[in-house]
Amino acid sequence: MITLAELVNAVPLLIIAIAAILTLLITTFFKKSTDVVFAVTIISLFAAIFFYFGDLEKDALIFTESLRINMVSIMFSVIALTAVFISVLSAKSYIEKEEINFGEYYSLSLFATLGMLVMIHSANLIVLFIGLELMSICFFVLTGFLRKRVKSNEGALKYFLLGAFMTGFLLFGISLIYGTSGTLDFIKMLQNQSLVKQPLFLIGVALFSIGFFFKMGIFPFHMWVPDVYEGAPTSVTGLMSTAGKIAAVGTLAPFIVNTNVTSLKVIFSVLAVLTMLFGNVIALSQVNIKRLLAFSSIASAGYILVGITAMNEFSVKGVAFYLFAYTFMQLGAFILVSVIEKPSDSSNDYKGVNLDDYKGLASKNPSLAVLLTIFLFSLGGIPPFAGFWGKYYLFYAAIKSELVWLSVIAILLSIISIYYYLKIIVYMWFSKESGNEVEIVVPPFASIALYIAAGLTILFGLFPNLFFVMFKTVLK
Amino acid sequence: MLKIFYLVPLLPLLGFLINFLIGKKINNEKISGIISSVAVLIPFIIGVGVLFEILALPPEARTIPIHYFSWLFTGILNVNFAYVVDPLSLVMLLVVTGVGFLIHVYSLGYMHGDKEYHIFFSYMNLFIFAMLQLVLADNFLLIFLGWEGVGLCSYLLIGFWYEKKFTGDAAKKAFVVNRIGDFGFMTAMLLIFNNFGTLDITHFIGKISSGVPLNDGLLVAIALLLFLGATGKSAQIPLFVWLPDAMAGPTPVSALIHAATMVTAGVYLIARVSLLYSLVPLVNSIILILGIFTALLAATMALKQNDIKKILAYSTISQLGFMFIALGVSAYHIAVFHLMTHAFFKALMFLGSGSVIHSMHEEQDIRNMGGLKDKLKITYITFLIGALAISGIPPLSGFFSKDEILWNTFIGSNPVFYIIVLFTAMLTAFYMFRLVALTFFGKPRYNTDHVHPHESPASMTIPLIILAVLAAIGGFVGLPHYTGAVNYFEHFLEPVFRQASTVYSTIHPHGEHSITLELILVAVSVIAAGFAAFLSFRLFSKKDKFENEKGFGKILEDKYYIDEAYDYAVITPIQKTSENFLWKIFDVKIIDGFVNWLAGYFVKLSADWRKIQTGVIQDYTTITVAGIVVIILYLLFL
Repeated sequence: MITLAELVNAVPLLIIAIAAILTLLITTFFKKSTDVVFAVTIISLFAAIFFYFGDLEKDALIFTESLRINMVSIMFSVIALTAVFISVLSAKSYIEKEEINFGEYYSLSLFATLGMLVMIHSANLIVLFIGLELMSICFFVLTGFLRKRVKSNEGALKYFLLGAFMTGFLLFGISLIYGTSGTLDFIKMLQNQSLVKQPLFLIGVALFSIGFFFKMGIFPFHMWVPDVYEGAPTSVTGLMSTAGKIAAVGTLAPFIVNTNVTSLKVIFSVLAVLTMLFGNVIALSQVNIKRLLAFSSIASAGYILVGITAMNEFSVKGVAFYLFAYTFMQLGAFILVSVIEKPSDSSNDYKGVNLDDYKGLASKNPSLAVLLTIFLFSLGGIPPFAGFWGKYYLFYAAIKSELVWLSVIAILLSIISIYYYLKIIVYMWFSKESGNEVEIVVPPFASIALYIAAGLTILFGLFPNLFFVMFKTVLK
Repeated sequence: MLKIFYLVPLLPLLGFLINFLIGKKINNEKISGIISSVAVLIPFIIGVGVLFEILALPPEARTIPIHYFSWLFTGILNVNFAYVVDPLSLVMLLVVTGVGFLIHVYSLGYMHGDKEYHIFFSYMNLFIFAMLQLVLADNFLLIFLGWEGVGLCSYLLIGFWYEKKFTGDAAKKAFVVNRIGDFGFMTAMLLIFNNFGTLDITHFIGKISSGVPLNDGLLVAIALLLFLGATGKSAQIPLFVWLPDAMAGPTPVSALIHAATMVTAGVYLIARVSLLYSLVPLVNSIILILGIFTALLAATMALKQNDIKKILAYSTISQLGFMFIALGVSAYHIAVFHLMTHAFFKALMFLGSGSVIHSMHEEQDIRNMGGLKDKLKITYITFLIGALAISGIPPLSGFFSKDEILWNTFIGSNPVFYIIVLFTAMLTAFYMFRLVALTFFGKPRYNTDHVHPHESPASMTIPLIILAVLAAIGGFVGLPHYTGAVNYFEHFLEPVFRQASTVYSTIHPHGEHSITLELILVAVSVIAAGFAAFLSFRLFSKKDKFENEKGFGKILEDKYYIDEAYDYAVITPIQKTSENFLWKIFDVKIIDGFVNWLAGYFVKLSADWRKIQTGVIQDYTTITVAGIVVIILYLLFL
């Protein structure tokens, strides 16, 4: 029986679920209702975050022990919801510009969000799988949302094919875990200490992790990332690269840290190094800013994996802080790209997404240039921006687990990233404009989203401890 | 009032942000100026409120830590954003905001018509904000934040009229010279953190006073490095050369930053960690000797200067030297006392000189002035009060503070030092009355057809009058013991310096001194100062011909060629090495060469590796499966 207390604990999830269905219904029955749908979406996201903050210290298992509401899952949920909130806020003007202003966009975003929350809160593997699939399928559709554009379709198809393929491995991993442990329940699984020494269980966990590595973009499971990020509508790319990654990491990291599968440390660290190397090096030769940011997001998945590999008490907090900081800087950068992007007349290709289009931006629109500079500096890990502390806490976790070598490599490889971030900054501030360009109009909602993102990047850069105070955790 | 104490730093910061970001849009001098002034006035009022609250407490309970939030939290380095409100920081707070407010009001008139009026006020507010961090913080890192902040504002405001090249040069000089001092500060912080594991001043003081045996060399090193920082900010030998050049900034800036507040930061810093200095007598002697030397040297240089602001600048260096003398003999409350009275009379004289310069159409050479006392009545009277105060004529404020310094030098060191300091005090009276005589007396030496001096507007004269009152009566809060009255100032500060005084008096037990001796010395110093002032006045009030200086006078006028010596010994060699080796060989060939090679290597690597990303989904799947197979094989067989 579902009790009232369970429903109260699940209020944020219910809000998102109801809003997702409601927006779909409104879209179907009322024409020209996108503004209403937008408002409902924004309000529901805000309400969900609000209710999460209502009671942060609960620890409850609800709905026949299938969902777990505790501090860690709430923390990741709030981060994911923040990412969706900022992304949807900025998406309005973008989808109007690209003439795909349909209510389904918001509805799909909300369903994807519901998938993320279910996944993060899941207390057993089946619920987790349902959440993951709900999120993924919405993302497949959203990637192909610009249906007249070839790249969008190509991206959607590639994402779908590879995603379906990887789901097989994930399910296989889950079945191996079930086969060796005899349970799907996380808590019961952890009670059997001898499990982590069984090879079959380890292979199960490895395959399970690989399913998530695919979502995060860890080498060599990252192949879809550049094509899909480039092809998807820019607002969707921003959503996937932040909220999608937060959900994946927010589910995987606590699981790995709790299971404490030390035998996988070597594999994890090798993958982390390869991911950082690969992402950063290939990003150097990109000319399309969406692809560049795609590779940079692969590299940052590598940093996150460094934090997860530490498998200690600092891992989850470090990862959470990084994702929180990452949300603002990565999303900010993508929102800026979506603002600068031009609506193309032909239906084939995106325009205004090449690095050359950023030349002389500072003289054309100084405030945009300042904002992008803040985001890029933060992504590059330069203080006093939040990104610096993000990397700091990740590598700190690794050092605490005596993975000093891994941190050193991570720091060295992140230096490479400064090159391509600075390249954009140099283009903006020191290069002459190429050709005669039209004026850039910054729509109001997008500029609110940008200033929120930039403000929080600076705020959490100056006062990193605020994050831990906010979630009532202490990082010692 | 303590509940709203956060407004004290917040309001100047807000004032800065408002004027800096939307000052141009407001485009109204009155609004900009008033916002900025009120942003300093309210913190002053709060400060007065806190003063009364603190006075109601018993003396031991007058140190109130205010913890706002944890600023950095990184394993072993934890920095709290915390203030400490105690008698010392409160005195500083009141001086900074009180004098600061008067100078803001004065600037309303002085900066009238400047095209970047709002920027000027935004920088002034930013300065107040940074200075408040410096004096309120309970943590070396937070102090350092303020320390660098005031340095930055000093730089920005010296170079405020950036169209003129020399202002830019002066700003750069101030900044670079201060970096040397900052290096000392930073190294001291590192040493403290490394050896005591904290940057909180309270903790640090607690640890060195806990009785645990300490490494003397370490304490000496920390004390010396902090003192190096202090010599930079407070313009002492060897880092005093930037202050005279800093007079290129607008006059209110000179009054606020380069006379009343920022330059006293070094004195404050040493007073703040007075316990450390009481433990290292060696460093105290160094401070004492350098203080005496700076005071004397700067006073002699002031004798032959002709720029009205330069004279005041050298005078400031000399007076700061007096404060360091007091620190050197561990008379901390007297150093702070002189800091306060000096803030009154020196700010007064700088603002007065600004009023003179204003009315003379930017003329600063006192040889081209004369006879201004009838034209600028208020300026003249207030300036005269300032000059009498600094000369140590009773019962003006400077008399009390300077006399205490003389007396403590006499009992705390040796008679030779006392005589040098006394002589310096005479020089002070001498150069100051030379300035008064040449500016306000005699016949006009300017072109009376073109220049018609007139009194400045009320917004400038009212601050002058208030400061003159303070300079006149400010000394009565610290009446000397021989008068039999209570020395309120000493009593107020006593809890802050109690530990340091106890340690000091166990090292230097000095017996009782008779009041008669003290009174004789007071009489001697007053007569000496009076005589010097009178002599100077007689010499210069009728003077209207000026010959080129010869011999020693020329050396004094050229400031002992210290600038040239620094140039020859330090700056030129550094520039040569930079240009011929560091730049052309080390930077271009070695650093750039390596960096370019490395970057080129990775860019090439990138061009090769990107080929993996074929875009063909079959390839993607193959690579993915290969990855999975490798991982499974590893798990099965290793």
